[in-house]
Amino acid sequence: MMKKQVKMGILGLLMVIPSFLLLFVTVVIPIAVSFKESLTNKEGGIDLSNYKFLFTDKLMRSNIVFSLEVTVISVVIVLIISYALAAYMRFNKGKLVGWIRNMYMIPMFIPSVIATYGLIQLLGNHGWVARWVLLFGGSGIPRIIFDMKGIIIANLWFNIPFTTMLLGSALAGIPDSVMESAKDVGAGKLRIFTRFIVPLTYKTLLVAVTFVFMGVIGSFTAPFLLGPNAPQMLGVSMEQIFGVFQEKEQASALAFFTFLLCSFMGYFYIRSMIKEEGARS
Amino acid sequence: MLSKKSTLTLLTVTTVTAALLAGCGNSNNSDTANAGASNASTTNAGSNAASADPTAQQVEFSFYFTGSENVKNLWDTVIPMFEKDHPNIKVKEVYIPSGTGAQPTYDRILAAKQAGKGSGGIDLYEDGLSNVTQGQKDDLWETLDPAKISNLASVDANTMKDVSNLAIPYRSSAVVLAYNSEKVPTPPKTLDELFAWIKSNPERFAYNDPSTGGAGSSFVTTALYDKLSEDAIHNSDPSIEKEWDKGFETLKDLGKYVYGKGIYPKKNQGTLDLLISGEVDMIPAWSDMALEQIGNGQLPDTTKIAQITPGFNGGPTYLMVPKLSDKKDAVNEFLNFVLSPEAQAVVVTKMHGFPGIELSNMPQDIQDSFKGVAEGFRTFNIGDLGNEINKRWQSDVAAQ
Amino acid sequence: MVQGIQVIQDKQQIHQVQDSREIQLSVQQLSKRYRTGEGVTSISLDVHKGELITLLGPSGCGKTTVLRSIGGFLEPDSGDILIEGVSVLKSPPEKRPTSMVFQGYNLWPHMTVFDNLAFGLKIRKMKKAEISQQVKDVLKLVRLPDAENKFPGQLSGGQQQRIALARSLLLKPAVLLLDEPFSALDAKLRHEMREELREIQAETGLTMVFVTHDQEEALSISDRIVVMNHGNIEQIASPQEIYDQPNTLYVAQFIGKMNFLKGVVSEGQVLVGKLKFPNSKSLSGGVWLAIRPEDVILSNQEQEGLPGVVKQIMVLGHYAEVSIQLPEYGVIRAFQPRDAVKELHSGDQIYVSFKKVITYPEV
Repeated sequence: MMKKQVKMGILGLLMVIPSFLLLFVTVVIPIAVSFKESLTNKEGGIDLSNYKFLFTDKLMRSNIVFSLEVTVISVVIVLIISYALAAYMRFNKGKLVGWIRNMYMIPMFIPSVIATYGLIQLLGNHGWVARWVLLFGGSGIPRIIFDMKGIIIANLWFNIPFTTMLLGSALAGIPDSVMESAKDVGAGKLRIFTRFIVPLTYKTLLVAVTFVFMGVIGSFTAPFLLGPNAPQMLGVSMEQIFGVFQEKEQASALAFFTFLLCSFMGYFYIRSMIKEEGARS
Repeated sequence: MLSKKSTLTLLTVTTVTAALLAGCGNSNNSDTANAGASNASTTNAGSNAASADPTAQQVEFSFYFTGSENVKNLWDTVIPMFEKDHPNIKVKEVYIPSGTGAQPTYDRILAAKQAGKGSGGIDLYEDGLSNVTQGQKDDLWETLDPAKISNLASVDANTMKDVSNLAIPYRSSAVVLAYNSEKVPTPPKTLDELFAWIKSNPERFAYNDPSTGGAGSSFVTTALYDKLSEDAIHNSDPSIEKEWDKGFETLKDLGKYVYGKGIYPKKNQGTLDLLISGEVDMIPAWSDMALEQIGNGQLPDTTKIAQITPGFNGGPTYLMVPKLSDKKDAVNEFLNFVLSPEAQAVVVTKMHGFPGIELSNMPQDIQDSFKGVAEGFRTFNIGDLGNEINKRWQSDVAAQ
Repeated sequence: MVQGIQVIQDKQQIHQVQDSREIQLSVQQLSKRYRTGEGVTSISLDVHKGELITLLGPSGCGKTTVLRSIGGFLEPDSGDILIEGVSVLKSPPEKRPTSMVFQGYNLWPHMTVFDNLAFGLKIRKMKKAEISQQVKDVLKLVRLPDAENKFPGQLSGGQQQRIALARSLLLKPAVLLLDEPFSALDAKLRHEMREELREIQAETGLTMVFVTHDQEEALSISDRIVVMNHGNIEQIASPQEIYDQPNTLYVAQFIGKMNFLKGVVSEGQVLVGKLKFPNSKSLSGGVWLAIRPEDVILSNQEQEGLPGVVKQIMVLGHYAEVSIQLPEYGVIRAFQPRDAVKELHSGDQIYVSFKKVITYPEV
């Protein structure tokens, strides 16, 4: 009996080892290495000078603030639009729903560089939109490309499809009878939304926030091509520091800081999962 | 059970985070490579040959070159032309795409020599000026003999003298001003005139972020070294950095007059796109890129190019023959062919580079297209100071 | 809204209400057609106060359509629905004086049992103390007094359905609607729940409309049964009447076990072989005779019936089911007291006659 348990234990361990090793080699080691590198100062000693640079340099500080601003705004807008789309598809029928269902994934199949250039063509100063506006007597559009707005719009394009899919499946998982029974006891539309639909999709919503946050804060292509020269998104700044200025240590510090930001999001996600588990069992 | 699940979740999140970070790291690298590639469109070699002896046994020699896709396209066109006329010579192309991280060809030639293994199987090599001079010190290159390569006569003698006849500058490209001739009837002739034009035509000029492409970098460097002594452009000593202050002041001041009151598009193509859409009327651009896009209709045909005096930077790309190669006769024939007007026309039409031979040897229509452009570019040799310029530009100019 | 869940001490009172035949729910010429072609056609139905009426039929017969129309989850094409004399057709579900217990997934998984129960009361702006008292009372009524702080996931299927029932009871609906509430439960639990529902109904005097496809369930709990088929009502009657006097061949087939024999009308009588029955329905030509197995009489006297051969005898507890092969008529089944089949063996020659037959015209 005991013997069998030991055997199973060893088997379990053996099955975990490959994935653990993969994780170790592709994730843990690189993070550890860049963390160590980020602590190396110009003279080769160990201190926090690179982090000090991150938070004291005027340019870097504005980059961090800018990145967080773009990220938070993008996350909020993505979630609102995705949730609305997913809810619309869940609770309505008809041609429009079928149309949305067929179309909303398309952005996922367009390579990001192509999409980004497309956005430049569309929203640039002399782009299609500006030309239409002029044609209909408008006086041109505000600057979108080479501005924070451009990055945010690109983030919407890149993130809405997947988020909508995620939320769509969460909403599909709510049985009709839950909402019908809520209606039955007298709940109106707003109450059904706030007391049933949101709580029942809350966990997926959190997953979506985490995904969008991490995707946006680490993004490169769109902010590189669409963003202003300064301040920059962290990904663009990291590239410049690493590739152009060749300050490996500073780039590592920035990378590690980005990792911490993402971990922070992950922490909230995990905490809510644990809470939920605790309440259920 | 509970804690197991949380651990699993933690691991998952960590993986996702790391994957994202890794992903952005990757795109960084590739983009750097791209940004560099446009600048590096100055590479390669060619050759030309006199008549071939059909009875001789076939000789095959290896030709190593690096660069962007357009460089490979050039040789894929020129080499078959040569082989058709010279059935006894076969050219083995060895193309090393930029950024593949292979051992630099130069090091291989040097290592082969030091190990006493001849030229290491490399019979012809293409690279920029720095490797020509480096090879001169290491005594790697064969001195080229006009008696064996008759077409050497059509190359500017001074240029050949500069490299002690060790290399053939078979093509060049340079940064120039590309402008809309409808809006700008008379382009600026000096940097001061250019600054004045920018100020009197607000938001009609753009240069790209210098860390993302050579055209913008050239504009910035030219501005910084404008009033400095002439030999400063060959000085890589950091002590010169403080002399940039005035130049950065000027650039900072220009910020409010350039496109979008301080928008600097990314990459060389970024500014060309603005010229295409008509959002600006003048930009600094690589001559080969601008000419190619005028040629294929991307840029409107009202677009013209001009050089200022003293010029933006640019430079030739050289072909060198390793001294220890044992197939020099075949190589010489090839070099002779590369310098023929026929092959040089390919350089112009395929790559929109400047021909390596003097324009007077080229057909009239090609001569006309280079009027006022081909001369006057300068070669900057300031080493790692380029990075310092980019850093200061980012904090002083971009983030002003 | 009229009747409370408070236990009504005087059960007589309920009977008086029932006797007065006060109509609590009236469905009038309700029609609804789906794109698939299914639906209901001109359904009319009156439900009396305190009555438990069952809509019975196979899936697709329209019973759920009627129920959901009453609850407001479906909009009928035409017809009207009156509750306590007032049309509710224009009201959405949350405004109707009805409450529905669904087939499954009834409870809200993210709320405790208390919150599930209290939710509707909170919407009605009831005071906290009163809510908690009512929740306690109703939990006692459904025999789950300790479930208050549990999550639905921690309850068994039967417990969940009892809580769901409690939630509806708390709202004191004018009509309680039950959509196959026990179909997901196992057989034993289903039996228990039926009894409990019956008791709760007796205690609360609520008017209930119960939907099921299980005829045994319908027979055991209903005051009246509505047998539906293809969107039409075949018969509305008490369980006893449905069983004894099925109106149509369909109802005869659907409810309970039944033998069918082909007969013919001749000289004012219905003939099957040498057996003769009165033609009470004034039929003519070919007819179907329906005979309950318990109405089959077995005899070894030739003159008393149709000849047949015993095929199989199954003893089922206190009675036995005997299958008899009748030449020309096929196999019929007879229920016999256990003692009566002691001497019987398969292969025995036997004669069959009937205590009671119901006749239907041949279609």
